[in-house]
Amino acid sequence: MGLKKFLKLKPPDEDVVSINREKLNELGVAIKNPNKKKREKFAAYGVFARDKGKEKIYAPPGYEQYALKLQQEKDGASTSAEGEDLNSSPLDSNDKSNNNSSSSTTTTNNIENTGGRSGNSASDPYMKAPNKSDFDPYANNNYTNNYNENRGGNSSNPYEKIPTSSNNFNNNNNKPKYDNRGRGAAGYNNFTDFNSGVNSEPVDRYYATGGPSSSLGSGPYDSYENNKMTPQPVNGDGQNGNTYRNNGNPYGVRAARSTNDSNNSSVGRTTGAQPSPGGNPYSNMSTNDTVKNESNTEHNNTSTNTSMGVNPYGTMNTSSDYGAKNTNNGIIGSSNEYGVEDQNKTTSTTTISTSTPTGTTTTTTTTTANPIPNVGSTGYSTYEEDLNAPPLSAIATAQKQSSAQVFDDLNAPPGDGEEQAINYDPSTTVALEQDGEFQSNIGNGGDDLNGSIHDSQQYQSYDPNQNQNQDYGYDYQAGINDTGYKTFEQLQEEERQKQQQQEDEEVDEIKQQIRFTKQSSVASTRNTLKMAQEAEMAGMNTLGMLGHQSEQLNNVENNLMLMNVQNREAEDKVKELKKLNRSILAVHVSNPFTSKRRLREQEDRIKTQRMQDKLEQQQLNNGLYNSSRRIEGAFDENVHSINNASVRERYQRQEALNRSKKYQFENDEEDDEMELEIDRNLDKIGQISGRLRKLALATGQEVDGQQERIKKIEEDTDNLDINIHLNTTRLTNIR
Amino acid sequence: MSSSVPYDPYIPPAEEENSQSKAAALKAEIDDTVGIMRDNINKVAERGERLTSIEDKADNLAVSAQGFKRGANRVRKQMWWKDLKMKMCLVLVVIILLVVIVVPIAVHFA
Repeated sequence: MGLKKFLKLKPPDEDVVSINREKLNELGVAIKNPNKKKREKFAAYGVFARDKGKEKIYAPPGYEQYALKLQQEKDGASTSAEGEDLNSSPLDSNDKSNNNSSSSTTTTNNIENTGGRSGNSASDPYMKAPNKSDFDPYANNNYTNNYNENRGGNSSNPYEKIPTSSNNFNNNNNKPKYDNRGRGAAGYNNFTDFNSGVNSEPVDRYYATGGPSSSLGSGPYDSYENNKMTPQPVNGDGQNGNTYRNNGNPYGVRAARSTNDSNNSSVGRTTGAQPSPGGNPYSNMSTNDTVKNESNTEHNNTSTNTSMGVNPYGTMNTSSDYGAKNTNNGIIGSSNEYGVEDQNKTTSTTTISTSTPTGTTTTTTTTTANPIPNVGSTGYSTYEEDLNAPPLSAIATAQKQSSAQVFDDLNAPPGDGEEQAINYDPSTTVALEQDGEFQSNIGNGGDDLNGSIHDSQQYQSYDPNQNQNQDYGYDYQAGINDTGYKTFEQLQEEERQKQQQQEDEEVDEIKQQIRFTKQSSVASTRNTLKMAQEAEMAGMNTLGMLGHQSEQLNNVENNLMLMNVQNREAEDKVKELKKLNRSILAVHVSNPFTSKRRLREQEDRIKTQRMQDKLEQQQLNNGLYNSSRRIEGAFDENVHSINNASVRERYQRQEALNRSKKYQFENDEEDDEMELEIDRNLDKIGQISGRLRKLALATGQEVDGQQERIKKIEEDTDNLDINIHLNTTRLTNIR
Repeated sequence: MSSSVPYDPYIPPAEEENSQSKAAALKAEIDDTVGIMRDNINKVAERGERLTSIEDKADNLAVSAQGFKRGANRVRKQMWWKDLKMKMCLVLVVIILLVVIVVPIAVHFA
């Protein structure tokens, strides 16, 4: 229409929102208050969720940029592509990235030997072992594997392989094989027979062959029996020797040791010059698993070497070579290595060396000194020291001590072999042959005396034939107490000594295991605690975000209600408009007589409507209040109980110590500390689990409540949508 | 420091039972928690579905509200035009009336 344009006639523009709002307010229609500051308690969690949230985007390769662009457009800006999972914990990523479980990391952190050798590819094989098995490093193949790997570096020495292979003491098959090989090559058929028989057969054989020893000292076996009671996992006893070996436990090695025991005892008995050396190898054998194996193999090796006609001391040194690079200090070196790799091993070696009364006493000091620097950085070295110290004093009988001292003195001059031998033998029954041999031994390898720990080995290696004979004699004269060299009392004394020594070493070993288990427990409790705390944090975060969502839901509900009200208003207006838009000739005159009643009705309607709205509003607010109170309650409770814990712990310290008394043996400060930590951690874990449960319950309730509200919102939205649509159609019908 | 209590490898059965029950209680609690959380996860998943549907409905609502707004606007303009027309008509009528009244008088006096 040209006229319209000409006259510039057009309807006025729409009102701006604010003006519209004002007008509506004048009309008495509920409006949204833009100036109202909502108190959002969990607003921070909204930000948190926004920061942590990640929108998943799927894009074919090469098209990620478009998806990313879209996302950035959507978000406005800065959502970094690598948003994390909401509840992701560093632990999880750790678990995924490397197979070490978190326990391993912490254990290595705590226990790992920082002063370790460079050659250690796997930083701490023994510490890793408990992850994969059930914290029993002895029953673990991984550990032996790692061990072998570590050992592999030194493989120039053929004897290394024997200990490594024999370290697989889990495998029954390996053991006898190596024994056979080592001895079979040496041509010691008797020896082989004896050992293999011992290895492959039940210990009955021991009892039969080792008649004197067994008759006098069934002690070692008793001690084995006793050891079964220790926390070590031991399979059913069954046959004595085999079960020990089968277990893959130190017991298996113990059986091997017992073979050596019998060997040595036979030597000692026949020669008569070797009671104390005979005793010593027991200690060597008995101290620790791998070490035992080593000593076993050392025995074997030495014997083979002598058969080859090599200087026994040289062989001793070579055999000690496998232990470490220190060629002179055979066992020292090995102890070093063990010290680097595992503290348990170091301690065991130290006990070994200390318990051998021969020239190794000097080495003993060195060995004891050695593991400390190696282990020193770790907090547990002190334990070892402490634990080792008492056994030394406790173990050594006066005799032994004296002999050790004598040897200390005597070792300096290597030529004093005779004296040594004499002093060496507490029973003072000296077999001249052996003495001479011993002397010559010293003369030959005088410098290496310190390195040669196993005097019995020396003896054995020194005169293999004699040893053979002795073995023969031992084998065939089994059960005969009086071999002609010793009196019964002496034997008894010897046995008692041996027995005690063995028991002491068993105790040492068990102590090692106790400590190791305890360390593992501490580490695992620590990890559990850490994970529990993370779970709690995640739970609290979840709850907080739920709270934020609850507030947002409340916002949505309020707006929906407003929409409802305004829609109702619009409906009224539409009706009015429709009424007014009828033909101009139609008369709308209401009945004047009922005007009062109509007015009253209208007022009532408005009133009820208003009340309904109020009620609805109150319901909404109630929902919000309930949910926020629930969440705050859970939060406050958590905080409260966290604060409580520290107070409670102070009072429970002594109680915890008392409770843990029965798990402790010769406890020192650190032991107590460990026990306390375990107790504390367990306590905390318990508390956290309780709180977690409450958190979970609160979360469940909250989610339920929100579910209801969401359902209501859904219905309201549907209704509103329908109403609006209806209004729209009504409007379109107005012409 | 040595323990005053002799080392006892055997855990007393009562104690064991106690600790066992404690551990069992803890485990039960944790299992319970895990169960609750499983439920929660299900609920949250359901809630997520509902939220998605709500989002859908809110979109629909926005569209229909927009339609209502447009319709209302259209009606407003329409009414304004109607109003204008009515006013024009009234003005016209008044003018005609005036003409009808004034013209005879003017003619009469002229």
